[in-house]
Amino acid sequence: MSHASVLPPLPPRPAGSTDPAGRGGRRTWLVLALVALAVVLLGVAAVRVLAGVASGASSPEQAVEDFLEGAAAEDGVASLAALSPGEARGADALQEAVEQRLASLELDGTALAGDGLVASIEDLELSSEQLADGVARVTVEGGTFVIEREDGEPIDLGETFGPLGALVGLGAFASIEVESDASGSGSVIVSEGPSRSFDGIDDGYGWYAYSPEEEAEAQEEPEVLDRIEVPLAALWSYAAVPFAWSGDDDLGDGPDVDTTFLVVRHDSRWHVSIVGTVADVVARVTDAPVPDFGALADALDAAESGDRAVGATPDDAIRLLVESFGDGQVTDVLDALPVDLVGGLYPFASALQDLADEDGLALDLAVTDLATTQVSDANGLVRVRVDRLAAEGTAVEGTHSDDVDLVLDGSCLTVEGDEECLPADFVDATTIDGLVLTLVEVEGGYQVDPLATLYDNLATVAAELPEAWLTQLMGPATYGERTPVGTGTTTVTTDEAGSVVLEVPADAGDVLSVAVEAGVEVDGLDVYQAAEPDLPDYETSVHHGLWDEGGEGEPAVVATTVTESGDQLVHVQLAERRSAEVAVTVNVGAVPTVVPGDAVELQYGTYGVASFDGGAGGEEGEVGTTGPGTTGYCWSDEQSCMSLVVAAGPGVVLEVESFEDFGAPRGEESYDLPRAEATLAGAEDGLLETALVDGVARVELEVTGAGWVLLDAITYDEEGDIALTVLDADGDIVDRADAGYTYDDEWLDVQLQPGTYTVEVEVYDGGDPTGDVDLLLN
Amino acid sequence: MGGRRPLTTAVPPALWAVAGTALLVQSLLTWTSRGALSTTAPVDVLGLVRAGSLSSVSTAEVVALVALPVLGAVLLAGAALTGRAVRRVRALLGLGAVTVTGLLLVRVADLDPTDLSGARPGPGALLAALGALAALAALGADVRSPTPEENPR
Repeated sequence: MSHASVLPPLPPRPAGSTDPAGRGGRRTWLVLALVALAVVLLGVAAVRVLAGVASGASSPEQAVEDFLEGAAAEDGVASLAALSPGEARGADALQEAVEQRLASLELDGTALAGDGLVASIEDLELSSEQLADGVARVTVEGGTFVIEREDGEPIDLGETFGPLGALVGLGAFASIEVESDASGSGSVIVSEGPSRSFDGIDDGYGWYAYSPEEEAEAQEEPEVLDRIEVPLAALWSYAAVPFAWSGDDDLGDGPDVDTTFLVVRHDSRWHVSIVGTVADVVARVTDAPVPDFGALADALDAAESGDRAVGATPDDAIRLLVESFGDGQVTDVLDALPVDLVGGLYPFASALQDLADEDGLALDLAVTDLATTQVSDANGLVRVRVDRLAAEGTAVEGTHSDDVDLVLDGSCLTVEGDEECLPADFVDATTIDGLVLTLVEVEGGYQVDPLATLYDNLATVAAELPEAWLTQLMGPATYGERTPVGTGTTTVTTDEAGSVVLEVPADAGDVLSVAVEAGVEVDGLDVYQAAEPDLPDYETSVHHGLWDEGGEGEPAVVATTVTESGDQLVHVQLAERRSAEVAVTVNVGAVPTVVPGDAVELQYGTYGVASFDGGAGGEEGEVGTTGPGTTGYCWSDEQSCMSLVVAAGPGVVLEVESFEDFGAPRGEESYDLPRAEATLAGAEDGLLETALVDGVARVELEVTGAGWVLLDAITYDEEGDIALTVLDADGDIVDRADAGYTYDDEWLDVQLQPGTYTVEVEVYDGGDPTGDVDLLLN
Repeated sequence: MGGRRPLTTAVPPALWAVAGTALLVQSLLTWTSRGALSTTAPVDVLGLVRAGSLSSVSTAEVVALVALPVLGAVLLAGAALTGRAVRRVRALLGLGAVTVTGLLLVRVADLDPTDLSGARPGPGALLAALGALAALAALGADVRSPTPEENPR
């Protein structure tokens, strides 16, 4: 059969045509060539689609490279394609919802691209180690994550702090050095690995602060960079710094953790498992048992042969998951979840089991009632609303066991008769009024997919959240609406997120104070001065202002000393995130000066403001108050150290606390207040070393002369917390301190009349009930 | 006149071939240079949809992503064919491809026709745009270059 016979007949040659003989044949060959080309190209595309080449990679190294390249390019689809399918399931819908919502707010979803920055990965070097069949660990041996400006200009950190904030913060945290380049105009961030040495002041609690001199020095550092480079091989070391650092006062070099990824084979393609990667890295930096990677291979085999805990229906799958917690075996729970989601945890099951056993709580529950409504069924994912779920069983904690019953009914969960419901403002704002679970179709039935469930609910939140909530999440810098108010009481209306920004004119030197009506619960009350007209996106810029959250029947109050004349901004955030009318009282002007022992006058009716001069060299924390009030940070210059004192109710007295920092000696020769004559039973020179019995130590305090008593209780237990209480002869609490710090001390400065008191130190929250405690008097 | 004719008749097939090839090959290239889909081609997206990894892509988008390379293949295969019916079908397919390309440029490449300053098209989007332009040019050339039976001089 000739080729021409399969083609449509050529048009008749017109009379007089100059078309040479054989042209029809050439066209035939041309048509054939084009058809062949079309078939080949379409075939290539079809193979890419049908062979599923897009998901996963052909080798473990390629999977990691795809993942990192996708992340650098901010291509969520590419990164998701490199991930284990279960970890990516539903994430794109969330990403889509977020991007659409950001677009509706005219915001760019690509953090770096939106600021004209481009990220890339240079000189990536990877190695791979086979851990078990279908399980590999890929190590990043070399390569650099680079951020540059698209237009080749230097990066101005001042302009791009938003997207780079975390990275710059990480750099500062890990002592990334800033070096000037050859031209001297720019600089390059070069990191040689993380370090835990800092220029700032360590307060012994893992926090540090710059002194004014260091802050000034920091300001002089170049803020324009040619490019930012982060060595990928040190990525996990950076990430591990905060974890390795907590609770460790011995600052040395940071942890040296290889940057590795756990890569798992699903459907003959390799995928990065973030769940497994995190577990693997944590296991390596802790004393976890040796992981059993063969368990993951077995789980993958079981999934392929349909030999897993699967529900025949979505309801069965929900029952199965709830009841899998029964005997406290971690692997039973993992078996009831999708293997492509939790597979990476199997090698670490024994470590997880140790954690579960340490907690010592097992819930043996049986589902007695389950009613669900199917919401959707598409792409292998079934979404069901749990209308009602009732379960009964036993909670076993150590040697104790109790009967337990719980009922989930719509948006309310009742456990042992105690009902908790989703807050009404949350339901209004998100439309989430109950539990909607996402289940995935697997071999033989269904399994609950907790991550897809989370993604789905977050997507709902992203789509439904009122704009006011979103702008608030984007940071206060995006607040546009401001409500001008003058002095006196004004009723203002908050936005749908319970937020309002007041604009108050004030002159330098004035004390500006704002009080929210008593009874209204306030989450935040911040003053931003005229010197910083744009609301900053971090609260630390509140300039020597202070606020008192108030209490029952007491107003929340914020006060600040104005440093620059103009409109000052006050951001009021109500606890209830919905539009509401609220009365605010604004006062501007001079305030009386008080000294320790003075009561603060309520010159504004429900509240009062006073100033206190701490003199030269004053320190934060030198003064405190009794009653519903608070003192502000010290505003220091060479001559004085001014603080503000706010009283949110009557009877607030300024008192000297006189401690400079945690752990330093207190109360020695620095009190202006009259001291009590008091003795602590068994103490020598005011110090008593005693032991706790059943978590409590009780010591008699005899006061023979009225006055102020300073008590300090110290434990050296690294677990738990302590509370310090003074009780009178009737057993009534005179004062109590429980600042909530772990393994530190609690102190009380209390005014006592002559009499016999009991000092009680109680350890809780996991502390040693038979440990030692030191009690110091005055 | 006689000397110009072979060139004139060669232009429409060449343009259709360029349009078809471009509309086919675009499916193997990325549509954005930054952000989402900057390292993922349309065929990869379709593969992920097929594998159930992407659930946010609508059916209409899937149809458009499949339709464009298929239209490109048909236009490429039929680039050298002649005849009134062939031209009409090709014109319809060409217009369809232009429409689908426009929709995908807006939807996938986030192209804002009123403000191109923020556009970050990738090679796939640029090639698709080139293919659409070539298809429009081929349409015009086809109109200006009637078949011999329509103008049998």
